[in-house]
Amino acid sequence: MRQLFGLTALVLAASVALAADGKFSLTGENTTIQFVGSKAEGKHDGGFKKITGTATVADGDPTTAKIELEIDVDSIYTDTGKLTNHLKSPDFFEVKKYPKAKFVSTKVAKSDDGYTVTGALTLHGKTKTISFPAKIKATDDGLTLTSDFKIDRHDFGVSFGKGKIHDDVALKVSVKATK
Amino acid sequence: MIALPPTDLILDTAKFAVLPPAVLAAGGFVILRFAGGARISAIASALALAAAVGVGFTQREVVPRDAATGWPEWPDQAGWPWLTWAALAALVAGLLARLPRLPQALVWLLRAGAANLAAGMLVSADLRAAAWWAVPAFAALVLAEWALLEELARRPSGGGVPLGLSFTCLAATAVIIHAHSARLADGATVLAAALGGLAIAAWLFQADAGGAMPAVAVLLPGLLLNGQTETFSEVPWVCFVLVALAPMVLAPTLLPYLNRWPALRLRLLQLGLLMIPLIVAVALAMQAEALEF
Repeated sequence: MRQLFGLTALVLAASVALAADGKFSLTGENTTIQFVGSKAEGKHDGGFKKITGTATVADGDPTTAKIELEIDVDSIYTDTGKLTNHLKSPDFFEVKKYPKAKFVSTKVAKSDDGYTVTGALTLHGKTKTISFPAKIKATDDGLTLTSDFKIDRHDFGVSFGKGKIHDDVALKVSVKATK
Repeated sequence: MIALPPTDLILDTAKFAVLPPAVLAAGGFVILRFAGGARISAIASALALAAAVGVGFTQREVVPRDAATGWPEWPDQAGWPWLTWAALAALVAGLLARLPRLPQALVWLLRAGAANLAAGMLVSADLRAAAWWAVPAFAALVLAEWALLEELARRPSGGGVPLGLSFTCLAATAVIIHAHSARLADGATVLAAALGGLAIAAWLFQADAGGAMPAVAVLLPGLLLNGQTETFSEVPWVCFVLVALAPMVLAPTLLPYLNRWPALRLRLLQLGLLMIPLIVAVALAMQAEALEF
């Protein structure tokens, strides 16, 4: 009887532990990645439509979050039709050679304004560690993440138009995932 | 209504993609020709073109460079980043093939080797996977145009062939820019400008500019191949093929009957023949895609 009670308690504890580990599927439906590229004469907005990935959070603690995202670069869109094709060409993303971009987080640390997410971003065949601020809220049933930050396109070999097109590209990431 | 580029873009192109390569090619050839005499015309044309295209490609970012150091980056995949190296290899092979008393078999071996090397460098892995014949076909085209253009440049010598090729490269610029790659279009513009400068210098000396032809035989189809396979547009593939193959329409002018025509008449005929596929290609490209600036 005592053994049965012990076994039941053990199973219950394991179930609670598993339920406390939130794994969320990230797709283009619940995750948006938008960018703004600028030059002296103005700016252009755009983003990526096809995104797949996962985010795992333990016990609702964002500092335990592990995020893996894969972006289909061919799904890029912009506010101007011809610009989209230009961005896909050898001038910028070279989509035919480098069809995917990837982000894998390595650390999420608490900061004054929320959290700082660190991870490896692979874009245009080049991988670089980046860190960006984010507001993250994690519960058993949902994960939200919002972030605004900039990357230097030259770090990823997207260098065409140096001096005419600004080096920094503003990125806006938003995740609203539920189980 | 044809959308014209803004004035600052035209001036920028003239300042960096046209004038420097044209002046370098013309000036380089003239200096070398004065220094070495008629016997080094071929070497002079090769070196002048190499300098002009090297500077122009670097300026217009046709040579990928490391963001941190600014030095040229060694390409990691076959495709357009290899253009400069493939052209350089062809120029070297072409100069070696001109060594005195070299057996014809060795001449062709050098050309074929460089053409195959260029094909290996410039045909992307995706294209190879989709079409097994892409590499040998590209190599064959380079070899055919190389042999043809060297011969045409010699008979008669002068600026006619470089001028015709300059127009061909301008057509390549027009087709590629409609396919939305400014980088590769700039590459074609640089080559057009360099050939234009070489045409003027070769005309002044009535010199054989054939030493530059191996590079042109690699760069023209190389730019167009990558301009078609690496871009996203409605420009029909036939536009790229028409411009890449355009120099081949000059082959009949090597026939004895035509080749004995007075030089000016022959060159006008050659230019006229060349314009046919070029005009068709550019017109089709403009019909397929509008440009936005």
